[in-house]
Amino acid sequence: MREGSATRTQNAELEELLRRSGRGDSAAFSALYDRTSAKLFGVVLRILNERRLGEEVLQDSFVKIWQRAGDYRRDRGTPMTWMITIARNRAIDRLRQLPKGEVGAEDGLLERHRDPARDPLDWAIAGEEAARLRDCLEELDPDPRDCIVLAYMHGLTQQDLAERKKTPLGTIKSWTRRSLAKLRECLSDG
Amino acid sequence: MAEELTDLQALAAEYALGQLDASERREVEARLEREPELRAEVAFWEERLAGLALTAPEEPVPAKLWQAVEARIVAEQAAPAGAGEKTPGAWRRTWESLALWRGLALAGAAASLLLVAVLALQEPLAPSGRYVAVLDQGSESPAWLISLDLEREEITFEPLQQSEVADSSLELWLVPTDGGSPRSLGLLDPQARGHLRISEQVSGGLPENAVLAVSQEPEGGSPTGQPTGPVLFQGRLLPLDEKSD
Repeated sequence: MREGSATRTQNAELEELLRRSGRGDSAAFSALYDRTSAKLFGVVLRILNERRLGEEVLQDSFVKIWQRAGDYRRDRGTPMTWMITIARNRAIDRLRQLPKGEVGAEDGLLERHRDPARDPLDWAIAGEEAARLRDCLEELDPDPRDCIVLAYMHGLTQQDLAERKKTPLGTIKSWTRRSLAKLRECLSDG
Repeated sequence: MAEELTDLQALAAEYALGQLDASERREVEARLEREPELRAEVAFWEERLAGLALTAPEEPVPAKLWQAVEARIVAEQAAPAGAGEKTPGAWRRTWESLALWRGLALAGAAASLLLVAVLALQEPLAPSGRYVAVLDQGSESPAWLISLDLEREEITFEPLQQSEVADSSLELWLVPTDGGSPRSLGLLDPQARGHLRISEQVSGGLPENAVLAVSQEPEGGSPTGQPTGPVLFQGRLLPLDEKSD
Protein backbone atom coordinates (compact mmCIF):
# COMPACT_ATOMS: atom_id res chain seq x y z
CA MET A 1 0.00 0.00 0.00
CA ARG A 2 2.87 2.34 0.70
CA GLU A 3 4.81 1.37 -2.36
CA GLY A 4 5.34 2.98 -5.73
CA SER A 5 3.26 6.00 -6.44
CA ALA A 6 1.60 5.75 -3.03
CA THR A 7 4.97 6.43 -1.43
CA ARG A 8 5.52 9.37 -3.71
CA THR A 9 2.11 10.80 -2.92
CA GLN A 10 2.74 10.34 0.77
CA ASN A 11 6.13 12.04 0.50
CA ALA A 12 4.64 14.93 -1.43
CA GLU A 13 1.99 15.36 1.23
CA LEU A 14 4.48 15.29 4.07
CA GLU A 15 6.70 17.69 2.20
CA GLU A 16 3.87 20.15 1.80
CA LEU A 17 2.92 19.84 5.47
CA LEU A 18 6.53 20.36 6.48
CA ARG A 19 6.86 23.37 4.20
CA ARG A 20 3.75 24.96 5.66
CA SER A 21 4.89 24.15 9.18
CA GLY A 22 8.10 25.97 8.37
CA ARG A 23 6.05 29.06 7.68
CA GLY A 24 4.27 28.81 10.99
CA ASP A 25 1.12 27.00 9.86
CA SER A 26 0.04 25.24 13.04
CA ALA A 27 -2.79 23.33 11.35
CA ALA A 28 -0.30 21.82 8.89
CA PHE A 29 2.01 20.94 11.73
CA SER A 30 -0.82 19.24 13.55
CA ALA A 31 -1.56 17.14 10.45
CA LEU A 32 2.12 16.33 10.11
CA TYR A 33 2.15 15.16 13.71
CA ASP A 34 -0.91 12.97 13.15
CA ARG A 35 0.71 11.24 10.23
CA THR A 36 4.19 10.68 11.58
CA SER A 37 4.15 10.56 15.38
CA ALA A 38 3.31 6.85 15.73
CA LYS A 39 6.13 5.85 13.41
CA LEU A 40 8.62 8.16 15.10
CA PHE A 41 7.50 6.85 18.48
CA GLY A 42 8.29 3.34 17.25
CA VAL A 43 11.75 4.48 16.14
CA VAL A 44 12.42 6.20 19.47
CA LEU A 45 11.17 3.28 21.55
CA ARG A 46 13.48 0.84 19.82
CA ILE A 47 16.36 2.95 21.09
CA LEU A 48 15.09 3.86 24.56
CA ASN A 49 12.89 0.87 25.25
CA GLU A 50 11.04 2.80 27.95
CA ARG A 51 7.79 4.61 27.26
CA ARG A 52 8.15 7.56 29.63
CA LEU A 53 11.57 8.46 28.27
CA GLY A 54 10.32 7.80 24.78
CA GLU A 55 7.47 10.25 25.22
CA GLU A 56 9.83 12.89 26.51
CA VAL A 57 12.11 12.46 23.51
CA LEU A 58 9.20 12.41 21.06
CA GLN A 59 7.92 15.66 22.53
CA ASP A 60 11.33 17.31 22.21
CA SER A 61 11.65 15.96 18.69
CA PHE A 62 8.41 17.50 17.50
CA VAL A 63 9.26 20.85 19.02
CA LYS A 64 12.54 20.65 17.13
CA ILE A 65 10.80 19.59 13.92
CA TRP A 66 8.57 22.65 14.24
CA GLN A 67 11.56 24.89 14.88
CA ARG A 68 13.56 23.54 11.97
CA ALA A 69 10.78 22.78 9.48
CA GLY A 70 11.78 25.85 7.48
CA ASP A 71 15.26 24.36 6.97
CA TYR A 72 13.98 21.19 5.31
CA ARG A 73 15.11 20.77 1.71
CA ARG A 74 14.29 17.90 -0.59
CA ASP A 75 17.99 17.22 -1.14
CA ARG A 76 18.21 16.28 2.53
CA GLY A 77 16.18 13.14 1.95
CA THR A 78 12.47 12.52 2.20
CA PRO A 79 10.51 14.35 4.90
CA MET A 80 10.25 11.10 6.85
CA THR A 81 13.99 10.39 6.84
CA TRP A 82 14.63 14.00 7.83
CA MET A 83 12.28 13.71 10.80
CA ILE A 84 13.64 10.29 11.72
CA THR A 85 17.13 11.79 11.92
CA ILE A 86 15.93 14.46 14.34
CA ALA A 87 14.10 11.96 16.55
CA ARG A 88 16.89 9.39 16.47
CA ASN A 89 19.58 11.91 17.34
CA ARG A 90 17.53 13.10 20.28
CA ALA A 91 16.92 9.52 21.42
CA ILE A 92 20.61 8.61 21.16
CA ASP A 93 21.58 11.76 23.07
CA ARG A 94 19.12 10.86 25.81
CA LEU A 95 20.35 7.27 25.92
CA ARG A 96 23.93 8.44 26.32
CA GLN A 97 22.97 10.65 29.27
CA LEU A 98 21.62 7.70 31.22
CA PRO A 99 23.67 5.58 33.56
CA LYS A 100 24.92 2.56 31.65
CA GLY A 101 22.54 -0.35 31.70
CA GLU A 102 19.60 1.61 33.06
CA VAL A 103 17.54 1.43 29.93
CA GLY A 104 18.25 0.52 26.37
CA ALA A 105 18.06 -2.60 24.33
CA GLU A 106 16.42 -5.55 26.05
CA ASP A 107 18.16 -8.83 26.66
CA GLY A 108 17.84 -11.45 24.02
CA LEU A 109 17.98 -8.88 21.27
CA LEU A 110 20.93 -10.52 19.64
CA GLU A 111 19.32 -13.93 19.59
CA ARG A 112 16.18 -12.56 18.04
CA HIS A 113 18.17 -10.89 15.32
CA ARG A 114 19.77 -14.15 14.33
CA ASP A 115 16.49 -16.01 14.24
CA PRO A 116 14.90 -15.36 10.84
CA ALA A 117 11.49 -16.34 12.15
CA ARG A 118 11.60 -13.60 14.77
CA ASP A 119 13.57 -11.03 12.86
CA PRO A 120 12.28 -7.63 14.01
CA LEU A 121 13.35 -6.06 10.74
CA ASP A 122 10.04 -5.74 9.00
CA TRP A 123 11.18 -4.59 5.60
CA ALA A 124 7.67 -4.90 4.22
CA ILE A 125 6.48 -1.93 6.25
CA ALA A 126 9.62 0.04 5.47
CA GLY A 127 8.49 0.50 1.88
CA GLU A 128 10.53 0.84 -1.26
CA GLU A 129 12.76 3.60 0.06
CA ALA A 130 14.41 1.00 2.23
CA ALA A 131 14.83 -1.64 -0.49
CA ARG A 132 18.30 -0.51 -1.52
CA LEU A 133 19.54 -0.53 2.07
CA ARG A 134 18.09 -3.99 2.63
CA ASP A 135 19.86 -5.34 -0.45
CA CYS A 136 23.17 -3.81 0.59
CA LEU A 137 22.87 -5.11 4.16
CA GLU A 138 22.18 -8.57 2.85
CA GLU A 139 25.54 -8.59 1.14
CA LEU A 140 27.32 -8.34 4.49
CA ASP A 141 28.35 -11.30 6.62
CA PRO A 142 26.03 -11.89 9.59
CA ASP A 143 28.33 -10.71 12.42
CA PRO A 144 29.47 -7.49 10.78
CA ARG A 145 25.90 -6.89 9.69
CA ASP A 146 24.73 -7.10 13.31
CA CYS A 147 27.19 -4.36 14.22
CA ILE A 148 25.45 -1.98 11.86
CA VAL A 149 21.86 -3.00 12.42
CA LEU A 150 21.97 -3.23 16.22
CA ALA A 151 23.88 0.01 16.54
CA TYR A 152 21.46 1.89 14.33
CA MET A 153 18.23 0.43 15.62
CA HIS A 154 19.01 0.23 19.30
CA GLY A 155 21.81 2.71 19.82
CA LEU A 156 24.36 0.11 20.93
CA THR A 157 27.93 1.36 21.20
CA GLN A 158 30.84 -0.76 20.04
CA GLN A 159 31.53 -1.55 23.68
CA ASP A 160 27.92 -2.72 24.13
CA LEU A 161 28.27 -4.89 21.06
CA ALA A 162 31.53 -6.38 22.30
CA GLU A 163 29.88 -7.32 25.59
CA ARG A 164 26.75 -8.71 24.04
CA LYS A 165 28.56 -10.65 21.38
CA LYS A 166 31.34 -11.68 23.78
CA THR A 167 33.79 -10.57 21.14
CA PRO A 168 36.91 -8.42 21.59
CA LEU A 169 36.33 -4.72 21.03
CA GLY A 170 39.03 -4.67 18.35
CA THR A 171 37.12 -7.26 16.35
CA ILE A 172 33.89 -5.28 16.66
CA LYS A 173 35.70 -2.18 15.49
CA SER A 174 37.13 -3.87 12.43
CA TRP A 175 33.81 -5.56 11.59
CA THR A 176 32.09 -2.22 11.80
CA ARG A 177 34.67 -0.43 9.68
CA ARG A 178 34.65 -3.12 7.04
CA SER A 179 30.85 -3.25 6.91
CA LEU A 180 30.61 0.50 6.66
CA ALA A 181 33.12 0.57 3.81
CA LYS A 182 31.17 -2.08 1.90
CA LEU A 183 27.87 -0.43 2.65
CA ARG A 184 29.11 2.95 1.57
CA GLU A 185 30.21 1.55 -1.76
CA CYS A 186 26.98 -0.38 -2.25
CA LEU A 187 24.77 2.55 -1.27
CA SER A 188 26.67 4.95 -3.50
CA ASP A 189 26.02 2.83 -6.59
CA GLY A 190 23.11 3.77 -8.75
CA MET B 1 36.80 -5.30 -2.47
CA ALA B 2 35.56 -2.14 -0.87
CA GLU B 3 38.01 0.65 -0.29
CA GLU B 4 38.89 1.50 3.28
CA LEU B 5 37.11 4.40 4.86
CA THR B 6 39.07 7.50 5.71
CA ASP B 7 39.00 8.49 9.38
CA LEU B 8 36.58 11.26 8.57
CA GLN B 9 34.26 8.89 6.73
CA ALA B 10 34.37 6.39 9.58
CA LEU B 11 33.68 9.05 12.18
CA ALA B 12 30.71 10.35 10.20
CA ALA B 13 29.30 6.85 9.82
CA GLU B 14 29.76 5.99 13.48
CA TYR B 15 28.10 9.23 14.46
CA ALA B 16 25.14 8.55 12.17
CA LEU B 17 24.90 4.98 13.42
CA GLY B 18 24.76 6.31 16.97
CA GLN B 19 27.80 4.42 18.20
CA LEU B 20 29.63 7.35 19.76
CA ASP B 21 29.42 8.29 23.42
CA ALA B 22 28.08 11.61 24.65
CA SER B 23 31.34 13.57 24.55
CA GLU B 24 32.33 12.20 21.15
CA ARG B 25 28.90 13.19 19.84
CA ARG B 26 29.33 16.74 21.10
CA GLU B 27 32.71 16.88 19.44
CA VAL B 28 31.31 15.75 16.09
CA GLU B 29 28.42 18.19 16.36
CA ALA B 30 30.82 21.06 16.97
CA ARG B 31 32.85 20.02 13.93
CA LEU B 32 29.72 19.68 11.79
CA GLU B 33 29.21 23.42 12.11
CA ARG B 34 32.46 24.22 10.35
CA GLU B 35 33.33 21.14 8.26
CA PRO B 36 31.20 20.78 5.15
CA GLU B 37 32.89 17.51 4.18
CA LEU B 38 32.00 15.90 7.49
CA ARG B 39 28.50 17.32 7.22
CA ALA B 40 28.04 15.77 3.78
CA GLU B 41 29.27 12.40 5.02
CA VAL B 42 26.94 12.43 8.00
CA ALA B 43 24.02 13.43 5.76
CA PHE B 44 24.86 10.57 3.39
CA TRP B 45 24.55 8.02 6.18
CA GLU B 46 21.56 9.59 7.90
CA GLU B 47 19.59 9.49 4.67
CA ARG B 48 20.65 6.01 3.62
CA LEU B 49 20.28 4.37 7.02
CA ALA B 50 16.86 5.85 7.73
CA GLY B 51 15.45 2.89 5.81
CA LEU B 52 16.32 0.75 8.82
CA ALA B 53 14.31 3.02 11.09
CA LEU B 54 11.33 2.65 8.78
CA THR B 55 11.20 -1.03 9.77
CA ALA B 56 10.05 0.04 13.25
CA PRO B 57 6.39 -0.72 13.92
CA GLU B 58 4.15 2.23 14.68
CA GLU B 59 3.46 2.73 18.38
CA PRO B 60 0.32 4.44 19.65
CA VAL B 61 1.15 7.86 21.06
CA PRO B 62 -0.78 9.09 24.13
CA ALA B 63 -3.06 12.03 23.30
CA LYS B 64 -1.54 14.23 25.99
CA LEU B 65 1.72 14.30 24.09
CA TRP B 66 0.34 16.49 21.33
CA GLN B 67 -1.05 18.90 23.91
CA ALA B 68 2.39 19.16 25.48
CA VAL B 69 4.01 19.81 22.10
CA GLU B 70 1.44 22.47 21.26
CA ALA B 71 1.81 24.17 24.64
CA ARG B 72 5.57 24.31 24.27
CA ILE B 73 5.33 25.79 20.80
CA VAL B 74 2.89 28.47 21.90
CA ALA B 75 5.03 29.32 24.93
CA GLU B 76 8.10 29.46 22.77
CA GLN B 77 6.51 31.78 20.25
CA ALA B 78 5.94 34.15 23.12
CA ALA B 79 9.62 34.02 24.07
CA PRO B 80 11.40 37.39 24.08
CA ALA B 81 13.38 38.44 21.04
CA GLY B 82 16.97 37.25 21.06
CA ALA B 83 16.23 34.32 23.34
CA GLY B 84 17.08 31.25 21.32
CA GLU B 85 17.18 30.12 17.74
CA LYS B 86 13.44 30.22 17.26
CA THR B 87 12.92 33.93 17.52
CA PRO B 88 14.29 34.88 14.11
CA GLY B 89 11.98 32.26 12.60
CA ALA B 90 8.99 33.71 14.38
CA TRP B 91 9.98 37.13 13.15
CA ARG B 92 10.51 35.87 9.69
CA ARG B 93 7.11 34.24 9.63
CA THR B 94 5.45 37.37 10.88
CA TRP B 95 7.31 39.26 8.23
CA GLU B 96 6.26 36.89 5.48
CA SER B 97 2.66 36.92 6.53
CA LEU B 98 2.70 40.70 6.51
CA ALA B 99 4.32 40.85 3.09
CA LEU B 100 1.93 38.30 1.69
CA TRP B 101 -1.07 39.88 3.20
CA ARG B 102 -0.03 43.22 1.79
CA GLY B 103 0.19 41.52 -1.59
CA LEU B 104 -3.48 40.65 -1.41
CA ALA B 105 -4.27 44.32 -2.02
CA LEU B 106 -6.91 44.61 0.61
CA ALA B 107 -8.59 47.79 1.78
CA GLY B 108 -6.41 50.86 1.50
CA ALA B 109 -6.53 51.97 5.10
CA ALA B 110 -5.64 48.54 6.39
CA ALA B 111 -2.88 48.23 3.81
CA SER B 112 -1.26 51.46 4.89
CA LEU B 113 -1.48 50.33 8.49
CA LEU B 114 0.40 47.25 7.39
CA LEU B 115 3.00 49.32 5.65
CA VAL B 116 3.64 51.14 8.90
CA ALA B 117 4.02 47.80 10.60
CA VAL B 118 6.49 46.67 7.97
CA LEU B 119 8.51 49.83 8.44
CA ALA B 120 8.40 49.33 12.19
CA LEU B 121 9.82 45.85 11.63
CA GLN B 122 12.66 47.09 9.50
CA GLU B 123 13.74 49.67 11.99
CA PRO B 124 12.36 49.32 15.50
CA LEU B 125 11.63 52.77 16.96
CA ALA B 126 10.12 54.04 20.16
CA PRO B 127 6.64 52.59 20.51
CA SER B 128 3.68 54.92 20.23
CA GLY B 129 1.32 52.90 22.38
CA ARG B 130 -0.23 51.47 19.25
CA TYR B 131 0.37 47.95 18.10
CA VAL B 132 -0.70 45.71 15.29
CA ALA B 133 -0.76 41.95 14.85
CA VAL B 134 -1.68 39.71 11.97
CA LEU B 135 -2.89 36.38 13.29
CA ASP B 136 -2.67 33.37 11.09
CA GLN B 137 -2.44 29.63 10.89
CA GLY B 138 0.42 29.99 8.49
CA SER B 139 1.56 32.70 6.18
CA GLU B 140 -0.85 31.69 3.44
CA SER B 141 -3.91 32.29 5.50
CA PRO B 142 -3.86 35.52 7.50
CA ALA B 143 -7.06 35.32 9.48
CA TRP B 144 -7.24 38.37 11.71
CA LEU B 145 -5.93 41.90 11.73
CA ILE B 146 -5.77 43.15 15.28
CA SER B 147 -4.76 46.63 16.32
CA LEU B 148 -4.29 47.66 19.90
CA ASP B 149 -4.30 51.17 21.27
CA LEU B 150 -2.95 51.39 24.79
CA GLU B 151 -3.96 55.01 25.29
CA ARG B 152 -7.55 54.42 24.29
CA GLU B 153 -7.54 51.01 25.98
CA GLU B 154 -9.10 49.51 22.94
CA ILE B 155 -8.59 46.67 20.53
CA THR B 156 -9.94 46.67 17.01
CA PHE B 157 -10.29 43.35 15.30
CA GLU B 158 -11.03 42.57 11.72
CA PRO B 159 -11.65 39.07 10.33
CA LEU B 160 -9.80 38.55 7.04
CA GLN B 161 -11.31 35.19 6.31
CA GLN B 162 -14.17 32.99 7.34
CA SER B 163 -13.45 31.18 10.60
CA GLU B 164 -15.62 28.15 11.34
CA VAL B 165 -16.72 28.21 14.93
CA ALA B 166 -19.93 26.24 15.09
CA ASP B 167 -21.11 25.90 18.72
CA SER B 168 -18.05 27.59 20.08
CA SER B 169 -16.49 30.99 20.65
CA LEU B 170 -13.21 32.51 19.57
CA GLU B 171 -11.32 34.02 22.45
CA LEU B 172 -8.44 36.44 22.06
CA TRP B 173 -5.48 36.17 24.43
CA LEU B 174 -2.53 38.31 25.24
CA VAL B 175 0.36 35.92 25.83
CA PRO B 176 3.15 37.53 27.86
CA THR B 177 6.79 36.82 27.17
CA ASP B 178 7.96 36.33 30.71
CA GLY B 179 6.29 32.98 31.19
CA GLY B 180 3.22 34.55 32.80
CA SER B 181 -0.27 33.25 32.06
CA PRO B 182 -2.22 34.36 29.01
CA ARG B 183 -4.69 37.17 29.70
CA SER B 184 -8.10 37.05 28.08
CA LEU B 185 -8.85 40.08 25.94
CA GLY B 186 -12.37 39.01 25.10
CA LEU B 187 -14.37 37.21 22.43
CA LEU B 188 -14.05 37.89 18.71
CA ASP B 189 -16.94 38.15 16.33
CA PRO B 190 -15.93 35.91 13.44
CA GLN B 191 -18.27 37.73 11.04
CA ALA B 192 -17.48 41.41 11.46
CA ARG B 193 -15.00 44.04 12.44
CA GLY B 194 -15.37 45.08 16.07
CA HIS B 195 -13.82 46.52 19.19
CA LEU B 196 -12.90 45.23 22.61
CA ARG B 197 -12.36 47.34 25.71
CA ILE B 198 -9.15 46.48 27.46
CA SER B 199 -8.17 48.21 30.65
CA GLU B 200 -7.29 45.93 33.52
CA GLN B 201 -5.57 43.50 31.15
CA VAL B 202 -3.04 46.15 30.17
CA SER B 203 -3.13 48.32 33.27
CA GLY B 204 0.49 47.51 34.03
CA GLY B 205 1.51 48.25 30.45
CA LEU B 206 2.01 45.74 27.70
CA PRO B 207 4.54 42.93 28.10
CA GLU B 208 7.44 43.24 25.70
CA ASN B 209 7.27 41.16 22.52
CA ALA B 210 3.86 39.85 23.45
CA VAL B 211 1.97 37.48 21.22
CA LEU B 212 -1.72 37.45 20.50
CA ALA B 213 -3.45 34.13 20.15
CA VAL B 214 -6.99 33.02 19.41
CA SER B 215 -8.25 29.82 20.95
CA GLN B 216 -11.44 27.93 20.33
CA GLU B 217 -13.52 27.88 23.52
CA PRO B 218 -16.96 26.76 24.64
CA GLU B 219 -19.70 29.24 23.76
CA GLY B 220 -19.34 32.32 25.92
CA GLY B 221 -15.61 31.88 26.40
CA SER B 222 -13.22 29.86 28.50
CA PRO B 223 -14.84 28.72 31.73
CA THR B 224 -11.49 28.72 33.54
CA GLY B 225 -10.04 32.11 32.62
CA GLN B 226 -7.25 30.32 30.78
CA PRO B 227 -7.23 28.91 27.25
CA THR B 228 -8.79 25.45 27.21
CA GLY B 229 -9.25 24.77 23.51
CA PRO B 230 -6.86 24.55 20.58
CA VAL B 231 -4.95 27.65 19.50
CA LEU B 232 -6.31 28.48 16.05
CA PHE B 233 -4.43 31.66 15.17
CA GLN B 234 -1.52 33.55 16.52
CA GLY B 235 0.80 36.41 15.73
CA ARG B 236 3.29 38.75 17.29
CA LEU B 237 2.27 42.22 18.44
CA LEU B 238 4.33 44.76 16.57
CA PRO B 239 4.73 48.29 17.89
CA LEU B 240 3.82 51.10 15.50
CA ASP B 241 6.05 54.10 15.39
CA GLU B 242 4.75 57.49 16.49
CA LYS B 243 6.45 59.59 13.87
CA SER B 244 6.05 58.81 10.23
CA ASP B 245 8.22 60.43 7.62
